[in-house]
Amino acid sequence: MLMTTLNSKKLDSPYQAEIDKMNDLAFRIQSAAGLNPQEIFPRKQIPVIENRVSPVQLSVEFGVSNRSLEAPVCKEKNTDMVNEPVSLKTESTDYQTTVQDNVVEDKLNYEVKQLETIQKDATEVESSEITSTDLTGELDIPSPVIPEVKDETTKTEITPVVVESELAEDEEPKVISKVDTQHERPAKEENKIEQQTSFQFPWASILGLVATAVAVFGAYWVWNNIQKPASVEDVVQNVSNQTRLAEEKANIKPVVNTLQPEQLEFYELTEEHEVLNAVLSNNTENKIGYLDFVASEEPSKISMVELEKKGFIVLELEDHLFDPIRL
Amino acid sequence: MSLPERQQSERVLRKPAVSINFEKLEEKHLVTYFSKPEFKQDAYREVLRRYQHEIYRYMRNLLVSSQDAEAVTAQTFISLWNKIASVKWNAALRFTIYRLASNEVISFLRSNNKSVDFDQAQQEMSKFLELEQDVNTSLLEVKLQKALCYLPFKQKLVFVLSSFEGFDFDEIAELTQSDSLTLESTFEHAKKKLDIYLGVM
Repeated sequence: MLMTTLNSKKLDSPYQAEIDKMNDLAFRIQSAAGLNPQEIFPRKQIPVIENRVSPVQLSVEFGVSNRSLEAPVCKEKNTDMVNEPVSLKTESTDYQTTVQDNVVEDKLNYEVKQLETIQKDATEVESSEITSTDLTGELDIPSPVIPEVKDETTKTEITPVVVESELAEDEEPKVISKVDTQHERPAKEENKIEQQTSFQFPWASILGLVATAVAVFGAYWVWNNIQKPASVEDVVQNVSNQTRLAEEKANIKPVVNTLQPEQLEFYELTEEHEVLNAVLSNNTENKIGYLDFVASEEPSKISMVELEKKGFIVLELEDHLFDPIRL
Repeated sequence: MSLPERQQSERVLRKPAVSINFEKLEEKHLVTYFSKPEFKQDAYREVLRRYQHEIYRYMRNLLVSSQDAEAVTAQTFISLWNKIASVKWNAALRFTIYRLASNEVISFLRSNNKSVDFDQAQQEMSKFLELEQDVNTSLLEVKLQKALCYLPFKQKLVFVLSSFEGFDFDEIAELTQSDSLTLESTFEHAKKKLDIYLGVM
């Protein structure tokens, strides 16, 4: 694929300029050249739609159905709509019949009905009062509940004192026994739990002990193997070496390089070192020749190109490639 | 009288009585109108119409940046206008415009990168590629353009003139005042390098 693209005779440039951009560039060129700038590249015309519909503005109101302002008003239809009698399809259902019974047709009737209901309520209340007074025959009758409660409370007030005083001695051991039994239950349960736990093996404590033992052993191993303390003999030897080196340093005198020119060895450059000699003697002329491809003859040119194609030599383009061309 | 008004009046005065359809003229006939002052401007506009796109694309291939390409294209046609009367149109119009354009792009690179080697400038150009990709470019085209940026400028110039613009080696040799065999070897070098680059990319 890649080779086919490279081997193809002509490749298409991927850069495509826009017409507007090219027109602007042409304007700039013409104005820079002192010409009256004209549009050279025809611009793309925007297609115009001929059958355009006149715009319709819609008014949207809240709660009112959408309608167009320009829409023609159809009067006949409206009148028909108004004059038409409202016809509702009714289906006889149980719900409708019950509702129809409860519907009040007239306001007056509704008031009368209300009054009737009020009167009915009043008569009911009166009848209830009458019945209560007729049964007792008294005007102020205490409620049947309160005196009964009072009697009970008095009885209850008296009885506990008597009972406590009389049955204190008899019931004390019973109460204590009850209390003891209440305390005995959890004690028994605890004993049971203890009995159960005594049979379990203490894994947690054993694991803790093992972990600490491993940690201590590991620390001991690290201390002995990785950071082993130096022996006293080694420390003494190191200190003695350091002091000896310090003394030797103090005794060493600085050496000054005082080589005489007579001691230096000079080499005379031969013809092989021509370039270096030229450089050393600040002579900028490079006497080494090079193959002038343009000046060489045609057969040698062909042979050089063949050699380059096979990778034996590398040819460079001449510098005068970039010289300005004379027109 | 201001300059535009004067130009307008001159244009009105010089307006030819006979209208010529320059769009249908062949190159060799179009060139003849450059020496006639009354037709010079219209003939020049016709040259712009025919070759501006082509030279712009040639510049984009060499320089990648659209701004640089526009600048060099403009400079090419301005220099053509300046030399339009003095040039002896022995060579083809297209060939001459490409000569001018090649000169302008070399002088542009020299002026902008005096201290920088051409080869380094090429690598800088590759940065523009990701920014200025056209919509219709395929992945392979982008890869090729990127690989072109890593070629030495001489090899790139020869490859672009040969592969994109359709010049043969003799024409390129004449255009660059070089040897066709040298250019052929340069082209082979460029092709080998591009093949390696495209294989890596």
